[in-house]
Amino acid sequence: MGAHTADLELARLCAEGDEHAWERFVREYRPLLYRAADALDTTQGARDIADSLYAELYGLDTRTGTRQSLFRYYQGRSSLATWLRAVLAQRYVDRLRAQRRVEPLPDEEAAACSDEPDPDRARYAALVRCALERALGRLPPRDRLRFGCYYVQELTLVATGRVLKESEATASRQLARTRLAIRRDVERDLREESGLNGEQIAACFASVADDPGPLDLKKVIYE
Amino acid sequence: MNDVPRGLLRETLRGRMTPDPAAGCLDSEALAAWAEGTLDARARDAVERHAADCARCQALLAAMTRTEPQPSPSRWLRPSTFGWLAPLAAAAAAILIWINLPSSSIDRAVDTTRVAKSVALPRDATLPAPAAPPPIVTAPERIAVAPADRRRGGAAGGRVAPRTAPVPPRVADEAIDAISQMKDAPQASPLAGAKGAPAETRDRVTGLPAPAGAVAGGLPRRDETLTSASKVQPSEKSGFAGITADSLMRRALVAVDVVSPDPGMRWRLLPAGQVGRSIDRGVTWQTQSTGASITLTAGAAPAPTVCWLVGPGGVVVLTTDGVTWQRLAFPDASDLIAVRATDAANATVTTADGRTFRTTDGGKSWRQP
Repeated sequence: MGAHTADLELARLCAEGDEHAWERFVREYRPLLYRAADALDTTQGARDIADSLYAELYGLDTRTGTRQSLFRYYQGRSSLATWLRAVLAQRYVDRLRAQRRVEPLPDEEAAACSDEPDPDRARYAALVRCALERALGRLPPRDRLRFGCYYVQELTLVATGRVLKESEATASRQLARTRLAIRRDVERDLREESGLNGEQIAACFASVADDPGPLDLKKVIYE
Repeated sequence: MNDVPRGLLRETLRGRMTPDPAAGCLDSEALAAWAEGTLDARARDAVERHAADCARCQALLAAMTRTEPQPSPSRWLRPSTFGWLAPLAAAAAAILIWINLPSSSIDRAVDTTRVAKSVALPRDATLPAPAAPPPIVTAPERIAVAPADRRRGGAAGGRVAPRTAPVPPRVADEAIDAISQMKDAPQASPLAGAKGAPAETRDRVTGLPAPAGAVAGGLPRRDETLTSASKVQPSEKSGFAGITADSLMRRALVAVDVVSPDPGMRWRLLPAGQVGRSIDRGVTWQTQSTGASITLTAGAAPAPTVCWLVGPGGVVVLTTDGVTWQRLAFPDASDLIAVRATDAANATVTTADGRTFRTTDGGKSWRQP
């Protein structure tokens, strides 16, 4: 924390309404915040979040007669710049999640749900999904996090590696290794838990490989 | 089929995550500490365990990673980073050469002309246009193969070009510029010259644009000694013979020169924002103040009286009469490491983190391409 005393002091002064400190803060940190916002949304759609942060940081809430600045939450566990990025990331993610909650389901989704031509195929797909869920549950959390970053968050290999504090090459190797392990685990699960033979297992995978659409769209759980 | 379908994998992963914030979710402080790597191993492990199954926190880590400032390889290439190596490298080279020289060579008195002859570095203040288009630098091959749906690239977020995609020529050019600038530190020049690597060739390698003088930074061959070398034929004793430790050291300490299309007109970057101007091919110098207080890092002189200089903290100065300097407003406080210019109105500068800004109105406004 000692390393961030200057940042803490700047935050304290800004929270107290020191105009010079505020000017310095805006001058030094606005480019950083905008860069971070643009990294989150290349269409500059996140800049409004960055702008709205300024109001909260400045502390416009005077209901109690005192300035309530967001700066009071900064405790110096990191640099002020990183903390600002963290606040921005939170606001961005929360806004995105809120938007997705209110978005209606696409029309084709309902159509996909209602039309299931092959009962065997539906059964196979359900079996694969269950086996896959179990296989994912058996993964170490770190492997699951890596998978989540890559497949769900759609980070690049480089960025995925940064989350896990590992190199791009390691992230790539680990992803490939885990996928192979999952495939084997699902096969074993289908064989042992569902009693399928090799041909049926192949049919299971073929069913989800040929037409993953219904599976992708049936269950919109995320967020 | 050898793999689990990606769509199925993604949906299943999503399906098993906790959709709503729960106990243990990251707050701003913890997220920032995680990003800076200041969490202890136990806390970090707890974060990873939580984020593995928490949709919101996983998205937070991803967002935080996307906003992470790009690691800037060019930072290593900045002259300020390696500047201190220049005299050391030159001294080491000089010692090696001194040791390997025949004693007769050492004993001979060597004048500067002779030094220049022996170095035999072709120099021309006006760089020739590359015969071929600038080379495209491709991203280095990776050693591991990602799954079939691989993504890669250096960008912090989003999908990126496939592994075989070339680095955009602009980026490659600017990176090469930065390297060229580092090479401006003349520790490389004696050896390069001695090995017979023609300056022209090196410029072709960098793929610098054709406009004369529109080169970021000056090259060491442009110092006075080397300038005179171009007027003479290569000596029959070309190579290491005749190079003295003193001459190497002297050249190693030569500042960066920015040469205009008229080789007689040139600028030299001096400490503390000062700049030397020569109108006689570097024989004599007149010190000018640019108004900046920091040492500038690179420059471009597209015309005899026009010179753009850039430096740390977004400093850009321009002279259009060769005498007075004007500090230009620049929208970013980043360290600037290179500049290209075609005239007094058009210039492109490069920041240490690889971004470029362009002006077409003499620095009144800048935009990122």
